[in-house]
Amino acid sequence: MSLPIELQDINLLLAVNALILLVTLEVFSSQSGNNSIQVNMQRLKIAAVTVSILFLVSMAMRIIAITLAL
Amino acid sequence: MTQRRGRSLKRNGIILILLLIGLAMTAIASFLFVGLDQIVHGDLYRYGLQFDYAWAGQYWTYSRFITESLAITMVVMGLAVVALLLNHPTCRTDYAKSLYFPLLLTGMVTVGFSVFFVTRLDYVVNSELYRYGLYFSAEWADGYWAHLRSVLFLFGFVASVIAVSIGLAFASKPSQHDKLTSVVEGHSRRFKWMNLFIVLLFSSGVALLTLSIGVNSTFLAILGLGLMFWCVILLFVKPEKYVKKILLEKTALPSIMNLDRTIREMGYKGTPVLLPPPFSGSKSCMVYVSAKESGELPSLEEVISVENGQFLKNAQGLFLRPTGIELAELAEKKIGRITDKVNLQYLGRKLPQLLVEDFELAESVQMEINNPIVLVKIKGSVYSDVCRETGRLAKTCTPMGCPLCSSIACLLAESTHRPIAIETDRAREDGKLISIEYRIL
Repeated sequence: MSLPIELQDINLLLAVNALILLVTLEVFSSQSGNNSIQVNMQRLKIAAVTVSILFLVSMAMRIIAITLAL
Repeated sequence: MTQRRGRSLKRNGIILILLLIGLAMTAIASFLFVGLDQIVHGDLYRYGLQFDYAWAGQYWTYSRFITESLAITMVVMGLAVVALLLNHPTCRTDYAKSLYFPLLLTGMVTVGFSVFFVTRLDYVVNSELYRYGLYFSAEWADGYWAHLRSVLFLFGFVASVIAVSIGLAFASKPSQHDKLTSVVEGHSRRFKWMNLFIVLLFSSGVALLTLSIGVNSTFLAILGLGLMFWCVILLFVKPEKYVKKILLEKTALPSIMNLDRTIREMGYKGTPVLLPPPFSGSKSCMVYVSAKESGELPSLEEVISVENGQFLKNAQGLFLRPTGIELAELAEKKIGRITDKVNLQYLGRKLPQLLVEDFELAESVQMEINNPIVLVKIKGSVYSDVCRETGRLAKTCTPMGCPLCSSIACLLAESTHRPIAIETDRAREDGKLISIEYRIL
């Protein structure tokens, strides 16, 4: 009994979610002339950056794994 | 009464969650049943099965009955959820009972039908198909059994959920007080539904993840993880309370107008100047208005001997707290306490980020420093109307006026340690652009 998911699946999940959050952040950003969104933009920013970093870390782990396998 | 009301709301919330989970489980069961059908009508032909209407007709009949039973189950559960929402929080009235009791009962019956037809379909596969050339292999049997077990497990789960929902719904009777207070508590319902929605999403995510281990499905695992991930995001990124711009204008303007009239009627004609500490005589910035039109700035000794903390000796000048001082203090918390290291250039870099990204007070901010003049252009400010109106007043087109212009003046005064005066304060008629010229004295 194990989770039927590998690092590359989590990598994909993080990439998609990071993309959604970053695009949402950019579209709803005050800099794009929108200052009426009722969402805590600071927290959204933190979430987007955290998920992006997690994606980059998982990507780095994959690269290291591939390099070690060679 | 309140405790009973709280229990009632809690019970209704639990029923709703249970029904929504049941609905999600029925949907997953349908998805798994499609997978089961694909094994029989796809994989089994590679293991010797010959097509014949004799077995296919029987198989299709059972298959159609299962699909229709599942569809009916989903529809009645959906209707039960709608009935619960429409009658919430007085859902345990006779009307509500009469509406969704038959619905849930129908759901229970259709789930029973589904279980019966699945067992009949399994009989067709495990006995009839061997007579049409099918030979046994663990390769197809493992996948088939995994799907079958999952479908039957989910049917059992849905039946239990419906049974518990019926039991909870008939647990107690509502009171008249419950009905009356429901109107009062209506406004907070949206947030409760939001939380319920998050709980439901998270539960579905956990269920899918658990199920993915059972059926060894990567798709379900990713779906479950995704749902759980978004629940965490929704819990973290909560909505913020905003006020309408018109309210800002209507509440800020009267006090500024009163201040302007008071200054005028007291006969103070000098240009208001914003003094930083220690020249202000206090720990924060103060606005100084001289009695004479060409009055000079007070010396430090004079400031220390200020009468009543407001008037200069012989009422030669007046000290007032700037309207934007609180905003400036909030800004200081964001960019860090203004010290000697925080110079004008640093403030010029930080100010746009502060007003646009952190406070969301404007669309864009530009600061040009041409010593001793500092020009600040603010586009799309939420204070644009307030700024335009205060600009029309006699005295308050100054550090006393618009809170935003005043707060920038405070920040400039603290970073330069010099008195600041506002030379010009222009707000375009459409309110899109505000240009403020500050003079460092």
